[in-house]
Amino acid sequence: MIRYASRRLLAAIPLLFVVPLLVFALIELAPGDPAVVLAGDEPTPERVEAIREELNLNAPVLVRYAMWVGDVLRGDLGTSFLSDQTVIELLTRRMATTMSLVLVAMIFAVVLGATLALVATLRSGGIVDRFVNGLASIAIAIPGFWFGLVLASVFAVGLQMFPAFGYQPLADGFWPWLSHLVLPGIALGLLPAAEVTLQLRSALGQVMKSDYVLNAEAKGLSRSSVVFKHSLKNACIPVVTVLGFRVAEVLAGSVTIEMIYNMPGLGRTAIEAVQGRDIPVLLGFVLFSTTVVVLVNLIVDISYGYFNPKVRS
Amino acid sequence: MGVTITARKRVVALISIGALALAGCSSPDNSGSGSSAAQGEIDTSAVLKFASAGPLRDLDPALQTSYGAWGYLFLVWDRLTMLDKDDKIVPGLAKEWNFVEDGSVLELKLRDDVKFHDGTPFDAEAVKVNIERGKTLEGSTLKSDLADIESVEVVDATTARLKLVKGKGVQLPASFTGTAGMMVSPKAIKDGADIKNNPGTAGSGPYIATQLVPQEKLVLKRADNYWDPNVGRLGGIELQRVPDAAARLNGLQSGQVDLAPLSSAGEIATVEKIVTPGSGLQQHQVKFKNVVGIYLRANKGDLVKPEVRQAIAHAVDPEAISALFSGYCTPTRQVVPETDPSRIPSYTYPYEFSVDKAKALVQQAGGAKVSVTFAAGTNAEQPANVVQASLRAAGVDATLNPVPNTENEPRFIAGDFELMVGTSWSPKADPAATVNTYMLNTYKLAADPSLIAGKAAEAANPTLPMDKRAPLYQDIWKTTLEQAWFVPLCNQTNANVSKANIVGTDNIPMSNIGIWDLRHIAVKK
Repeated sequence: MIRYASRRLLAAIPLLFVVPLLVFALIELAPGDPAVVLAGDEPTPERVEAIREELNLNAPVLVRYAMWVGDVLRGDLGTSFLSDQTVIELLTRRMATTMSLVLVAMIFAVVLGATLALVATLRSGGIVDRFVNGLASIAIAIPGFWFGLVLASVFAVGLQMFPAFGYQPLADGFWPWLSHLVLPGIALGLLPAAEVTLQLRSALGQVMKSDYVLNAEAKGLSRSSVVFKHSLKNACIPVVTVLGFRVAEVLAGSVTIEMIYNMPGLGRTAIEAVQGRDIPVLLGFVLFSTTVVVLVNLIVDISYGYFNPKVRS
Repeated sequence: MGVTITARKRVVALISIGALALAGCSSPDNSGSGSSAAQGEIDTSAVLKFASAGPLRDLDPALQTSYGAWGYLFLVWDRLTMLDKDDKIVPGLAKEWNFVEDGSVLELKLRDDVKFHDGTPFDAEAVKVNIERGKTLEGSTLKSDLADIESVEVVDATTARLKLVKGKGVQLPASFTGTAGMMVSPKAIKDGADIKNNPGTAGSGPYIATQLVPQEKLVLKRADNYWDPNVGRLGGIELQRVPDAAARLNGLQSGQVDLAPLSSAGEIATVEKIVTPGSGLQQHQVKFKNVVGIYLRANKGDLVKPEVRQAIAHAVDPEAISALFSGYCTPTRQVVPETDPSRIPSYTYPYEFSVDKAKALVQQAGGAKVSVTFAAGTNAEQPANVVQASLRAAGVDATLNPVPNTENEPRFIAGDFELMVGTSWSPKADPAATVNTYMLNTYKLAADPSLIAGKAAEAANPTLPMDKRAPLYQDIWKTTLEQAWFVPLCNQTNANVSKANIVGTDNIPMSNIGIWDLRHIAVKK
């Protein structure tokens, strides 16, 4: 397993440099001049040229890329053009927001998804089963940003139960932290919750038809006992592996949710970096995202092998 | 202040919603209950939660790249002069200013009762240090503002004489109402204090910065013993950057925000519906000085032909643009507001809306092709679409060119575009600065500068009183409009929306250009 993981990690390293190179190329191909954008309101040509010189924007793209790689290998991701903070400092601070949001969204998705799937399985073929199936199908079709706006309108503006926007660090207290994450977390977790519901319900349906389950039922065990003790663990195998991919999806979805709820997370950072042509921050974000996706995929592959002996062999 | 979610609040909220529903048929309350006059007892311990879209990079006055950040800085740094809510230049740290010695020197008489919060006295030496810093600091964005000053002479503690470049500097008293006039403690400068991110006690403003998170928030506490007792009446202010207007509106309705400016037509229309008696909110609407209009590069593409520019001026109906903003954009045919001395009295715009005339001019020019550039996702987007449709109706081959909001202005200035629909035409406190910015220097809209440069130079004579300068600027604007270098369309409306207990929302200087000087804001007990 360790050799397998090491091989996968080594294979991923080139990706960490190829993706930023593509971003460099895209920035180069995009119309406009970062120095012009950074010069702010009513810039003079002299100021624009001074910025170009200061930020080395006159150098060829490959030279700038090579310099960036050299800095990254020394542990320096550069400094934000917009806020003058180091990219590491900026991403680290904003990562806490996004990670908190993803955590709450995934907990919501797993708890709600598993509960609905189990309820549907216990009432297999009945109205409840069909209702859960329909509900999950509708939830998959609902855009997260729209759901986020509805939640804010009802629970923040109307009922004033939760803040309408913003983020409080955990250091400020558990409830202030959680209260700022409930609405965006639900908005972000709706899609994976629906997917978990359908996935687990389907997996449970398959497992419930297995010989060992029929045997358990023949022994006279109750429905709930059959589901919880004998079926759930095996049904979770595909769900757990797929959840890994959902983490990457949720990370991507956090971009819009962070904008709607004005949360200072990585998604908003990325948007502002694109708008403000903040190249060091954009590259740092891309490097971070690529690393996360590579690691998540790796964990998914490993967990799949761990849970499924057939694959392991 | 701020948001604390309790069961009691939820009950109050539900009752409020009911009251809001009952009050739904009432007319909106624009009475300005935030009037400075109707103050009642002030809660000097209150912390105001303010939300705006203004960019917040750092606090160094010499390094600001956007006017949008000025509002944060006004509270920390005092300025030599200030603007009042009627755009009049009023004393700040400078009590008086006069152009002397045939206009070659600007003499400032300074207050003698001001200290920076680090204990350093404010005096003429501080003025000299700050101006020299602004002129020489690497990356300083004040260099062009201060370029007309050759040197600063300290006469005594309360008198500074600014030696000016010959025939220049008339706009300096107006420039000093912005970052160019902000004063930093000379001791802090000398000690290398982190003016950008943690200025601490380096200012002499009504508030002291205690926390800055770039692009997120600025936390201020009141500076005790401020020289103006009518200013700085809050315990503190938390200024949050909330770029999305809908989020700011949600924050106001949920009680998370106490005061927020809103400028998009959709949001203001919503404000009209929700600010009702019993809603706990109030609004104060401000007509923008900024003009929504069409910037034309008369030395580029088909716009070189005067007939094409005139056709464009004829083709677009300001009333149609106003309708896009639900009426919250007052049609205008002038480039400066009523309060500006350079506004042309009894003016008849030479290119009234007429599709037929526009068509005839396009035919006369042998056809025309233009690209209509605008900032995507901003208030310029819909007007740009109407402009394009209007031009096509007049026979111009017009295409749309959406660009990111951060790029349209700088790239237009750089000469990348021939025509831009923008909302940014912002008349300055002195007409000389407006002419310099838009016509002769930064934007360089005057394709033939010789038509206005002479009058601009004559009007920039600092010894001339404004009533002598104004007619010269009026002639410059007539030329600008006749040449169709800029086609004014309408003035948008801004709304400062706040909780009902906020005082002074009708006295926020510069809110008519999208900046907010919150020095007069207070909270009633």
